[in-house]
Formats: sequence, C-alpha cells, structure tokens
Amino acid sequence: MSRQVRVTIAVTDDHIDRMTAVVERLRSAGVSIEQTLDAAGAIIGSVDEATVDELAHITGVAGVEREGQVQLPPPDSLIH
Amino acid sequence: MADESQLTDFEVHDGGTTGRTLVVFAEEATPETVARVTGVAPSQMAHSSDFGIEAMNVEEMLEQSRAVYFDELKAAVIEGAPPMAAATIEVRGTSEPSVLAMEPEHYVFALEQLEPVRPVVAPGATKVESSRDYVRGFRDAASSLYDQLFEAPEAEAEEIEALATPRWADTATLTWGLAATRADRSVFTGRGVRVAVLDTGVDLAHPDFSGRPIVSTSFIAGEPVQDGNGHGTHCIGTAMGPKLPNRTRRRYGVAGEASIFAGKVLSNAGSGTDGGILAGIDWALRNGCRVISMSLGAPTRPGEPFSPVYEAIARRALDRGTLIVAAAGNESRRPSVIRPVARPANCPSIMAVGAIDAFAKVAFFSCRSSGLAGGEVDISAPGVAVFSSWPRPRLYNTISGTSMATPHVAGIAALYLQRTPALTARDLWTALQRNAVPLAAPRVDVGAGLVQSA
Repeated sequence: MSRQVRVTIAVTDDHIDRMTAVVERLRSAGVSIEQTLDAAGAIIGSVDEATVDELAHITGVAGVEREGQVQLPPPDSLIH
Repeated sequence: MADESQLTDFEVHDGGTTGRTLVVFAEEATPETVARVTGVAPSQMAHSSDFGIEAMNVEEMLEQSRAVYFDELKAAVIEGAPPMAAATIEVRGTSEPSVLAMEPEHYVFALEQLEPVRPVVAPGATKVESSRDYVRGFRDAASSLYDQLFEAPEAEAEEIEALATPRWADTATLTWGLAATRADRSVFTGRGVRVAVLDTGVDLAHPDFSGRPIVSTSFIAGEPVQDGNGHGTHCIGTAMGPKLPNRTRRRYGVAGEASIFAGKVLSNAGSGTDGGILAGIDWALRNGCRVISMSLGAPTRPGEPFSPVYEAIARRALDRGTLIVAAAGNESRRPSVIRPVARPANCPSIMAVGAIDAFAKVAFFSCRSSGLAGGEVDISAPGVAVFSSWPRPRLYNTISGTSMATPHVAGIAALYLQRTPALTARDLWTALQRNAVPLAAPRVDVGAGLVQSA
C-alpha cells in the first residue's frame, strides 16, 4: 500500500524559463502537481513515498524535499 | 517560533514549569509594580538589602519566602510563575514598561531538547537528572550573580552596576529597538521600497495603517488575510509601522513609508506549510518586493543540513535583487540549552537574524550558528520586550522572539534600498553586516552585530 507525501521541488536556473517541461517530467514520474510557482522556480505536488528520492535525478530538478510544517506558539506565549 | 509542545512527548514537572522565574524590572518600577507583576506581596518578598554584607543562599531563602528581590539589580527570583507568566507585558498609553526581561515561565524538560535523537523515555532517573541539572545551573547562576555584585570590592561596584543597567529602554515616544538600531535618526522612510511580510496576515483596519495602502493575500485555505493571531500585525508594525502612530505616542516601526505586502502563509492558529510559504515567496517576487521578512521556521537538529529547495529559491531571489531575512529561531534556553539556527534561516542565501535584549546581550532563547555552511547567525536585532502593533481591540502588544528581531532588519533593509535603489541584494547583505555594531557577544550568537539603520 503506497503512501502519498507532499513534496516541494526547486527547479534549476536553466529550466526557469521552461518549467512546463519539468512539470511534464514530474507528472510522468507520478507526481500529482498542485502548484507551479514561476517566479520562485518551485513546484508543489504529491507523490508516492517510494518515488521521492528518484525525483532529484530528473532533468531540471535542483532539489526535492518532503514538505515541512511550521508552527508558532500561541499568541499569549512569552516567546515568539 | 516553534511550538515547544511539538518537541516533547511529556512534561517532567506539573505544568511544565521550572519552579522559578527570573524577572528584571525597569529603573522606574515601583514596589507596587513589582508586587503586581510577581504576584508576591511585599511581606512575602525577601530583599537582598536585608542581608547587608552577608552571603545569600538563594535556595534557602526561597524555602522561606516566595520570592527574592535583588535591590541593586532590580530583579526578582520567584518561586513558581508570576500571574502574568502566560501573558505578555502590557504597555498602556504613554506608561513605560515595567519589565525589561523575564526568564521563561514554561519549561518543558524534554530529553529531546537536550539530546539530538528523540529517545525512548523511561520514567525515573534520566528525566530527574536532566531537570535537576538545569535547575541547579539556574540556582548557581543566580547565586553567582549575587556573589559578584555584593562580594566585590567597591572599586568594581560601578562596573557591576553598569551590568545591571540596560543600555536602552522604551520611552514615551520611541521603542528601545528603534533607539538601538538608530532608526529614529534615519532620514529614510522606506518610501518606494516594497517589503513583504510572510506571516499570519495583518489587521487591515488597524488605525495605525488607515490611509496606507496594504497589498495582501492569503495562502491559507479557508482563511482571509485578516490577522486572527497577532504575530503578523506585530511584525509588520516593527518593519513598517508609521512614524506617528494613531493611538500611542510611542513610535515602533522602522520604515514608515515602505510599501506593505502582507502575505498570510501562517493560519490564525499559527501553522503553515512549506508549500504555502514558497507560494508566499513567489507572490512577493512577482510583486517586485525587494525584501521578504519571514518570522517563521522549524527547529533543526544538530548536524541537519539546510533545505536544498529553500536555498535554490533564496539564491535565485538574491541574484534577482530580493533579500530574504528569517528568524534564527527561539529553541535555545541559555545557558544550559543552545540550539542551532532554525530552518529555513539556516540556508546560506537567507539572512538569519538573532535576538538581543536591552542589555545588548543575546536573548536567552536565541539560536546559535550551527557550524554548518549557511547555518550562521548573520546579524542580530532587538528581540526582547518589543512593543508593536496588535490586532484590534488591543492595538499594541509587547512580546519577544527572534520573530521580533527579524522585521527590524527587514525595515532597515528598506531604508538602505531607498537610499540606494540600485543596490544589489548581495551588496545590501554586505552593507547591513558591515554597518552593524559589534557587540561583546560571540559571533556565533550575534553574527556581524547589532543592525544599524541607514
């Protein structure tokens, strides 16, 4: 039973102007594309857990990460 | 920045307290104020002056009294947490804050904070030893401080007195943070410079921003950009609050004429995802923002490398003229616990901002350079007891964190960019560091020093 994880992907500089090509390659690799961020050069999507590490080898991919979370302490906390 | 409860599976003490709280008062604090803040009546408070030249055993005193007040230091050690422990320090109208600093009242002694790997915790000796070591260290530090002050020969008294006097303080018309960074002396206002604050949004109808355009958008599904938390409004206030606020005489904002871009990447409950944050960065870049302020992040473990995704994006932003500044993180509990710079501030291409207090010391919570590439604290800024805007009806609040230090740098970056619009982002980074005031603190804690305005 495969597990889907959300991933963030950075595109290489030389592919900033042809992100659609990278998007297509990611789709072929099984990534379900959620957002394409043209100015930042990033793609957000979800994919099988088992496939994550392979994505880094795709042409045009500068980096891949499992999506992280951030959490602020409550507003009445001492430290922010 | 990070919610401590996320780091722990358990609490060692009931309520997660150390059993002690250290509070430092302003020069003007009256006995009534001390009693109110500490929740300890004067009759229950032991005074250092009662002891004359005799050595004081803090621990013994705390067995008999609920609190000990160091008259020369204007500081108190309280058994337990003061009634205001969970609340922030309020500042009303033109009154000055009564409290300059407060040691953390919440203390969760999780082994996770002391060891790099989440352990399987068995009840018993391991937990107790870690807690006891910490409390012992705290007691020793307080006793040592007393010994230095009262045991020292007269010749050193002046020097020691200086240690107890803050270098800056809020006045009726200016926050200590703006004084320390000399923002009040600057002729620049950030006019013409677009600054994005990616946070919990903003109170769009706050009187201090009426008549000032705010470009805003929410990346949180189901939540409008209107700030239901406070954090975002506070950070925007520090970076870009007006020179003449509407409901207070105290100026708290650096770049009062910068163009405000408020991106809500954190929910009203304070949570966010990398996807939302990256979308926020993308939006800021598309809107020509030259500075992006991120008072957010996640704790890192020692040895953890930086995010290749944030780094690629931040480096590209730098290349294209946008400086991203982020909070170094609040996971430390100095002196016992010192944690590395948080993610994504630990990226080489993101400027990591540490926090200092009004004594020009590293804030007890501020994270330290990790020793890895990119993991340096690059610069520091005021981050303890920072007064700024807050959503209605409260309007203003005084809180602490590297989250508060970060927008000082963002606002100041806008001043530099107004002065020199053609400044590249890398040259801006260099200029901020070069003009910082060195502090008597290790570089691993404060980077190039205390940021200074253009």
